[in-house]
Amino acid sequence: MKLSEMEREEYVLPGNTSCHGCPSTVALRTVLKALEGNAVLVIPACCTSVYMGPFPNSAIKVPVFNTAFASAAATASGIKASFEHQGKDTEVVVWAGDGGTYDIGLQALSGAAERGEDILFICYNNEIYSNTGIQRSGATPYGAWTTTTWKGKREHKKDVSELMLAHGVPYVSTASIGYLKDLYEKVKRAREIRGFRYIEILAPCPPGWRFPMDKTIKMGKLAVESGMWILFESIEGEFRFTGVSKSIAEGRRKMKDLEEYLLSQGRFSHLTAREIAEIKKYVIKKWEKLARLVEGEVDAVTAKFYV
Amino acid sequence: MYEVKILTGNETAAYAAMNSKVRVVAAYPITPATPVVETLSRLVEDGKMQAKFIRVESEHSAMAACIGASAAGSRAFTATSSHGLAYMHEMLHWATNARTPIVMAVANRAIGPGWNIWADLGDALSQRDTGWIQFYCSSNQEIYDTIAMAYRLAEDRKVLLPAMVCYDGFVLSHTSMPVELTKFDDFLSEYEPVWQLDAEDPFTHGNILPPEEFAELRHSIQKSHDRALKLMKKIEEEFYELYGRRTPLILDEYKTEDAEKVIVTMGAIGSEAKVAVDSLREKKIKAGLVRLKSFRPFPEKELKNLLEDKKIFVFDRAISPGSGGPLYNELKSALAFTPVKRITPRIVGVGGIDVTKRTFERALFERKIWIKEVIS
Amino acid sequence: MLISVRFHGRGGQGAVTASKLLAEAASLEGYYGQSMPFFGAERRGAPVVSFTRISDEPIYEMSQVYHPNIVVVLDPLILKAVDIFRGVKEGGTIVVNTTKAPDEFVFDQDYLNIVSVDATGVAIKNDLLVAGLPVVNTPMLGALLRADIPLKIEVLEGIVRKKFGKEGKRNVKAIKEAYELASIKLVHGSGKRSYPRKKKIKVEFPISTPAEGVAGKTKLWRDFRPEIDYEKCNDCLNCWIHCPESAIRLNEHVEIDYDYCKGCLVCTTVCPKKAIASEREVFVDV
Repeated sequence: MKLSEMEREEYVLPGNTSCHGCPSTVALRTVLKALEGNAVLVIPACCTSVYMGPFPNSAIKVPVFNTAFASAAATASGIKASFEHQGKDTEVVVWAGDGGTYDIGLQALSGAAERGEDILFICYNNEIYSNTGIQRSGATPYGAWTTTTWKGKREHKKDVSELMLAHGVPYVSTASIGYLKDLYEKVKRAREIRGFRYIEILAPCPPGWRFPMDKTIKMGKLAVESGMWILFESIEGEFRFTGVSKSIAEGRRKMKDLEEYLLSQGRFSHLTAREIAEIKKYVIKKWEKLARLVEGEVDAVTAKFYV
Repeated sequence: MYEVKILTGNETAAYAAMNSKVRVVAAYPITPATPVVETLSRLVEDGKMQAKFIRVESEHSAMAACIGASAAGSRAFTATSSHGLAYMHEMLHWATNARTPIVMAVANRAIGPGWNIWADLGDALSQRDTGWIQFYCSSNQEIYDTIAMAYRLAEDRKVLLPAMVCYDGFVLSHTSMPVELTKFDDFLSEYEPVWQLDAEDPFTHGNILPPEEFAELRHSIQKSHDRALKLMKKIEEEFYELYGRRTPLILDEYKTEDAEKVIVTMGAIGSEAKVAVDSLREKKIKAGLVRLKSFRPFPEKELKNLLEDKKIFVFDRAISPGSGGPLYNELKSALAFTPVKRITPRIVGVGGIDVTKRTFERALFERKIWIKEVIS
Repeated sequence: MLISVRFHGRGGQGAVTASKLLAEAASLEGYYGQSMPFFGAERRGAPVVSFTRISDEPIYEMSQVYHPNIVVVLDPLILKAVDIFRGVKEGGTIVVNTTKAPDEFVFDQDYLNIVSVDATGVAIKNDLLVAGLPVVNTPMLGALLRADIPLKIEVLEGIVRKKFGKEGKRNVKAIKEAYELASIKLVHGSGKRSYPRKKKIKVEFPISTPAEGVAGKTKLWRDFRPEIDYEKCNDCLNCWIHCPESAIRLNEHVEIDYDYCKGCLVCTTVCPKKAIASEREVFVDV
């Protein structure tokens, strides 16, 4: 698909209150273009609840229902039930940050996934509570500075996309704002499927991660190129790597040095060699784990790039 | 005549939801409200009730789903109790400011620890500042009628607030009595929302509300409560004309006119108190009863008119630690600057202690505030 | 004695920190100090207000400052969005980060003292940048000392050194430079005070309608200005799809909407033809 074939209408309007170089607005713009504006958004507390701006106006040009932090997937379930009862075929989309997905929102998310609610849950993951001022979340990677882990987080992140695979829902994919065409196409594909669908978008946050505001997109690419963020898609249980991650998995492309990714961000600038080695170990394990999901390609071809 | 069935309070609530044309139910089991969920589930699965049933994973999600369904334009219902209600707390506030006219059945029960599954109004009374309309019932027929009347009230353009219909756990929730299963077709039509989520109408609901605008919203909610009181009288009348039943929404009075000593209470023990009044009258004691039905909005004027020259005994089946009986305190402030002779607090039935007519009789003559035993 | 100070800035410039540092400095000098931020939407770039009170007696006022003696404006562009002169006492002082001369400012008071300083220049020179944006709070505190305020520069420097650790040195240097650079001038205004009344909106439902510019014309957030070189541009649309602000319009060619572009410069990094360059923004009409 060419960029010129993408929806031209803007659904995230200019002059909103997002930060300079915000990854969330880029992602939401792309998602709403892919949905051609035909969706009701459910948004729990997150950056988007703020950057849509204050009453009596809003920067988002599709119907939005704001809800409490823990309850996005449940609220969406209620809206969908009502639409179904009324015979309306409106897509209900949750747009949540990693806090509203990984931590406080996890129970409602898991419940809705298990019930097979016909909703599209999208997590824009900036790996922190950036809205409240850069606190650690369950999605924050090992070693990262945050305002609640001043010396770096001591634990690895959990991975909700893997958790969604374990729920056995019909659609799970990951994306990065470094590859918007890929994101656009994934949203389009998710739209064709009924039942519970989950997309997680890596959203590098300049003030939260401490990198220059013009590098948002570059950082989204570098995360994938270095193997730290892995692009995949699982449709009805069929798992495949996608995009750059696919090339890496198939040995057609070398991963970039992980240090290049880590050390271009202020949040990792204090890392010791031992800590970097710990992150590398985690990343290799993750690749191996995911590679096992590819049918007929049981060999974990990726590991050799690191060792 | 409509069908009369012998039903528990919980089954009654489920049938009331069905006949009130509820279209989305989201609920989670909790003792003693669980049978509401079970009954509704059966009614939906058997095709007797045209509704979507969301079997959510928590009460917080139950209320969130009801809010979503209501916002999308459906009449929504749930039922809970005790810890479940407490767990919903955040979403109760949300439902009010969101202006989603949900009705919820609450089987009142104590909150632990230690685990106590028995009747106590403390669960709902501690939600009194959430902005919900609160009714406390004293019979199963009243539960049935009140649920339909609550929808009429809650959905009125002048009100648009959520409402809870409360009844004592086990005492009503598990007690069977005859209930006339009126079809409410003349009284309550399909839900017609004032606003609803719609793909064609891209508005944003609930974004940042700056201080002055927030105060405007909160003030408009207070005004809605004031209007609700006026509307209650109209709805009571209309209901009586249609079905011949006097189901009070504001309060129920019994022999207050010439009474010297008036019992004021809420819920199922308000029914028992009627028996106590008769018994006291036989002993030549001029007793009377005011059973408050609507705790929110609090009908200050109506209570003043009835009580301003009486000796009042307030029976609370709940305690607000550090303050006292919630109803006692509210009534005391409502009756300030009136010539009330005496207002005396009594705490009875906490944690499910059975309250008998003798409890009332004894309490009128003993000086103890707390009665912590069954007077049989 | 009660000195009340109002700070205007944009999220990320350090107005709240400056307000707090000032109160701390006052405490060290033996005064009572109070610092009170007003939090709106905490976003980098959004207008931010913070207040400081300094007194020789305990301070009991807990409300915001409506009639300040001193106003500190960390960002000259904020003038476009908010009335920085509002409520300022006659003869009060405005300390403003600007490249303009003091008497270019227009206000309703009879006269005010204007302290002007190019704090952005000082910040960039001393490499005081976070995520690419200049942080001007410490140089502005340096310039503030030109106002009638009983604080010694050494006390302020001590606090800043302590607060900023490794970066303390650069911040102290910035304070000194800004203090030296700042000039104070008594300026006459129109003397015609007006008291605009806010129109009350009825709010029955928390429902909002979509609109551009919920944060106003966000061009005022722009420190750097991207420019498309149409000689090199081949309309590949990469800048358009990657713009976080939806501020690149699709007309005959891609066009930057300079009313809303915040100047994040993402477009300059995604352009495969390197057709978008950037320079420091200068608003001639401010």
